[in-house]
Amino acid sequence: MRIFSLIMVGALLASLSSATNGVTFKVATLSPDGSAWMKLLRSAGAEIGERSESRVTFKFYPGGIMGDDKTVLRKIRLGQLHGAVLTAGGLTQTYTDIQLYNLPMVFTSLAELDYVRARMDPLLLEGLEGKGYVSFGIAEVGFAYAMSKVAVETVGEARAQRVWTPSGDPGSARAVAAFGIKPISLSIADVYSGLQTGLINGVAVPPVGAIALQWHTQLDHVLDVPLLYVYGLLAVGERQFSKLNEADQALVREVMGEAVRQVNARSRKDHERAIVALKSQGLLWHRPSEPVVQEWQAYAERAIVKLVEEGFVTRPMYESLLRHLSDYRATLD
Amino acid sequence: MGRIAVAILSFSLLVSGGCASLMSSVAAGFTENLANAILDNPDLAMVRDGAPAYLILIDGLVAQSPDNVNLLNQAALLNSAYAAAFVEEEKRNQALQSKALGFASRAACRGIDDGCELRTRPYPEYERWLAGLDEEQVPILYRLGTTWAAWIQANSDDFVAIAELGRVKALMQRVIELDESFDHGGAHLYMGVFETILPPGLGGKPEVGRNHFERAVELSGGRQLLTKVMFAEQYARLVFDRELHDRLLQEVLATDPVQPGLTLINVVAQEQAAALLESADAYF
Repeated sequence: MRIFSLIMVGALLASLSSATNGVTFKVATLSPDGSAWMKLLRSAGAEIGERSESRVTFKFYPGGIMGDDKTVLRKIRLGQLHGAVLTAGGLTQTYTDIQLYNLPMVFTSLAELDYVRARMDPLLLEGLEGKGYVSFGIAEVGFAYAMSKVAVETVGEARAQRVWTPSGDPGSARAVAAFGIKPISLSIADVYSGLQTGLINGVAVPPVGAIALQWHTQLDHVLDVPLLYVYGLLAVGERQFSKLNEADQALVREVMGEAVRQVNARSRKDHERAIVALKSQGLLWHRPSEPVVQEWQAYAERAIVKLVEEGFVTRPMYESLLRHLSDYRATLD
Repeated sequence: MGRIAVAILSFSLLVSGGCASLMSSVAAGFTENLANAILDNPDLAMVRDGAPAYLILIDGLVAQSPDNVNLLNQAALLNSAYAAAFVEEEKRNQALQSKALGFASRAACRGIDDGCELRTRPYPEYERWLAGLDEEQVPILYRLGTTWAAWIQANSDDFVAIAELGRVKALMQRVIELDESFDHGGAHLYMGVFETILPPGLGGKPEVGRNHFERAVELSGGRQLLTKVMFAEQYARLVFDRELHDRLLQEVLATDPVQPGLTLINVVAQEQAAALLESADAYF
């Protein structure tokens, strides 16, 4: 009994001291515990705890236990959570330009993308911060490719497929519709069985996603044209972040920023290995002829014009992206 | 069993090495006993320090009888289990797991009709092959599955390895259909883990995983302690059920680890249970 009450007192003291002296960030992620993301985040959290002498601590809720992006954002608004690793799509309600790199077929290579990101990431993060979220950086997932049960090269062939888009994501439904493809909306959790039963027979997904979710076992062909760039962000609510003194804010930015940079670099390697894996698992890659690629691009450009008109991203940001792209392409000539 | 015993045994094997068929049956029997001696040993330190000598010996026996399916199976089991339990250095663990998977693949190739090139043949063909198997093939099939899973685990930061997980899952599902009680319900334990890797939003099925864990506990009569440890670590942590987590692990610590064929694994399980309980406050 005595030991028990001592423990109780100890726990009480601990909770009091953390309530008065420290700031805890409760952060949700979809990544399973033990994944590379989570290992890096946990070790960054531990480093911050140590270097701030426990004034700043991080507590993680991995594996989607706190719900999807929408639910997590609601919990952040209610103050039940203070941050999350989110997809760019998840933050569009807050700051629409965050999905700038998500425009269909705007990049034709990773080199182009790297050039633009080096120049525009800071602008996007600044914009997000103006809307109440402090982000420590953008982390790549990879280019999404069209993968299907039957070989697809032309836009016309794609229209004959039953193509999946994630439910609750009007952005990607619109992107698919722009090519004249009628999408079938399903939750991510239902895609595998949808492919098995034939309800859908085509998806657009980054290679790492296809493998992590084992969809590749139900797919045979890949269209070798990068369709769009998929990425995520680690962000925390400004309200909680502003409780830290200046030195602690700098510490969190430094350590978490480094963790995201590491995830980003690692993701590139994973993306490349996942492409190797899809090939070694027997999926066939089809690179269409130049006129066919141009047909895809023509549809994408028309779609982008419409997306900009509808305010999917703001015009100045889009124009700035185009400028960087043409600067980069000029260096290649 | 000490080194002298190994020396005597190897010597007697060497002198009797004239007849190949006698040789291989002696070798298989010997390694089976050896595997049992290791698996029944509660002294982790002794097994850790002593096992490498046996592994080298078995590699030698396999080299001598490269088509002996039983021997290949035992070699796969021992190499894989030793690496998973004791080898922390990543590169060494990967090398040992690769070797073990090579043995298990060869056992399948020699021991089951059309059982070669299972890792690279098109997935639908692989599924058809699984569907055509029967109960007799379960020992080879199951060993291939456990060794394959350990190899993926050792290479879990490489998408080329992760891409093969679906095949192991389909294999274990087939083992359950053919003989769910094999190895104390081990296939259910593996399926429990596979169904709880992903969160529900990404297609994971924690409740299906829970059923597998519970069935594995039932089939082993609660004697296989690793089952409860994995149940706690994979399922209870995924769904944030601390009460279940702590209860399962306390049960593991309160159970006598000495069980035929399971002692070593149970001792490892108890160590893991203690570590999980210690980190629970930080997790939940």
